[in-house]
Amino acid sequence: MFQEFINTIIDLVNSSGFVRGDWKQFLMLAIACFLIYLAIVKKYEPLLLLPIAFGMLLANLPFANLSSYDGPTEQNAAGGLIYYLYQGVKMGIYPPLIFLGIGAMTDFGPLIANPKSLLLGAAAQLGIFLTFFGANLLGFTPQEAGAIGIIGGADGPTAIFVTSRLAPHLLGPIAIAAYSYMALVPIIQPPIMKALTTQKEREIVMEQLRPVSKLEKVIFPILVTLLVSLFIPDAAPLVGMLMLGNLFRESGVVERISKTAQNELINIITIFLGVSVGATAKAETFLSPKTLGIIVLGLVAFSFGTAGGVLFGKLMCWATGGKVNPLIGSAGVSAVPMAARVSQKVGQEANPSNFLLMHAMGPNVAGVIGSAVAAGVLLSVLG
Amino acid sequence: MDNISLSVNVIFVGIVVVFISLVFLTCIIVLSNKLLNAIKGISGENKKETDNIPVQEISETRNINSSNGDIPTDELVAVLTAAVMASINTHPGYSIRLKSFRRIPQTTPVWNIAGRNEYLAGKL
Repeated sequence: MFQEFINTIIDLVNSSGFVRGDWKQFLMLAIACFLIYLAIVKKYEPLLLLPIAFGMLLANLPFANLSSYDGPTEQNAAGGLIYYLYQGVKMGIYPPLIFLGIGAMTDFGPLIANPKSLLLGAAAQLGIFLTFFGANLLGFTPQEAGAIGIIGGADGPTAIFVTSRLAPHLLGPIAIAAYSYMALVPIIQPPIMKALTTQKEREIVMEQLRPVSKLEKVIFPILVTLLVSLFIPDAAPLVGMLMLGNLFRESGVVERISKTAQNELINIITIFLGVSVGATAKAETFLSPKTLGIIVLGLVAFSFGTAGGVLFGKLMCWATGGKVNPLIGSAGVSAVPMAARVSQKVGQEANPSNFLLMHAMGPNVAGVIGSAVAAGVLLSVLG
Repeated sequence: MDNISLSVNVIFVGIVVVFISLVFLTCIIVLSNKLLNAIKGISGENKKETDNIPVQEISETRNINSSNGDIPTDELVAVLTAAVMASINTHPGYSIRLKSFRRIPQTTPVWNIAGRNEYLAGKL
């Protein structure tokens, strides 16, 4: 009897994850714990990095079958919870819903007051296409290169939307790279901004923005949806939901729905999206040279996006006779509102009485539209 | 070679399409704003709005901490007006007119100023 007891214990130990687990899975668990540390202690985009990191942890638990790919099997006819949550990512449902919430939280007033900001939002998408070129040269397929390039848009939902369509097997590393770099915007951008501008340019004080009427704010989302979707139909899911959320906010007649979109809806979708995206990062796909390439190219995409925005800002500064501060160009990457705050901070270092925040919010929200348009182009050409 | 030609094609098409669409959007927004202004009639609307807004004159002097005797600029006047409106909890459409300012010597302790600046910098 004692022997039976010993044999049972031995069988139990042999069937545990400690014995049957692969070293790669344990390494992924360590990486997941490091990302959890970054999210909680360093506060790197915790709203998404924490669920992503924990999803990664769950997916790499040996024989727990909790990854996004663990669907119905002979042993488990129902399939895993995270597999079903992942269907929202796979079918492109979650990112547009997050854009709905983002639209409800965004004030497009600074953009409407100064429509030229849209051009800065366009210029900052340069990073997407240059990175696409670099990724292609490094041996990625065109679809993979497109998914990697979209990191340069600095827009998490857009990156996930495009990647789920073009290269779903790279969803884990691309999502982690995108959100990590978004959190590092205050570190990545200032050296590039200072290198590309002169002290005199950084000191430029811009004219106050004109007031924007409620009618303009209500017409804007309808106009943008119609024009962009007619021009680039593949951008319609993202742009349409973004503008729907904004219309909820600006109409003033559906406050309950607007509040729900800004709070409960976006929070629920964020949890589902984060956990299921993180759970795609299994050891076999994440621990590869491609992941390192994605991390390096993600940084390149961000840097070129910032440089593109600043350089176009300089062009606008020259064209307007010094009325536009080039620093607001860097806010064209759509990391709202962090990139606008960085423009404000760098501008204030040069001129303490300069307040660029609202001027930078124009290109910042324009970048959201610009990255959605760029995503539509990539899906249209490569999809 | 095919990859490079595809990459160049995608870059060119992508940048051109993004720029064209956003330039087009910019033009439409500018035109729609001009159209809205033309329909509303800016001067008539402003006159109506001015008639409806109660105007309250505040005649008391507001104290401003300053160590020099500079004459206030338009920007300073605007900032002080906004600060007064915020402090007396006005509602949209409420209009006030500040008639006078007076600067007094610096009374706030240096440590309080340093703390205030640090707080504001942290908010940014």
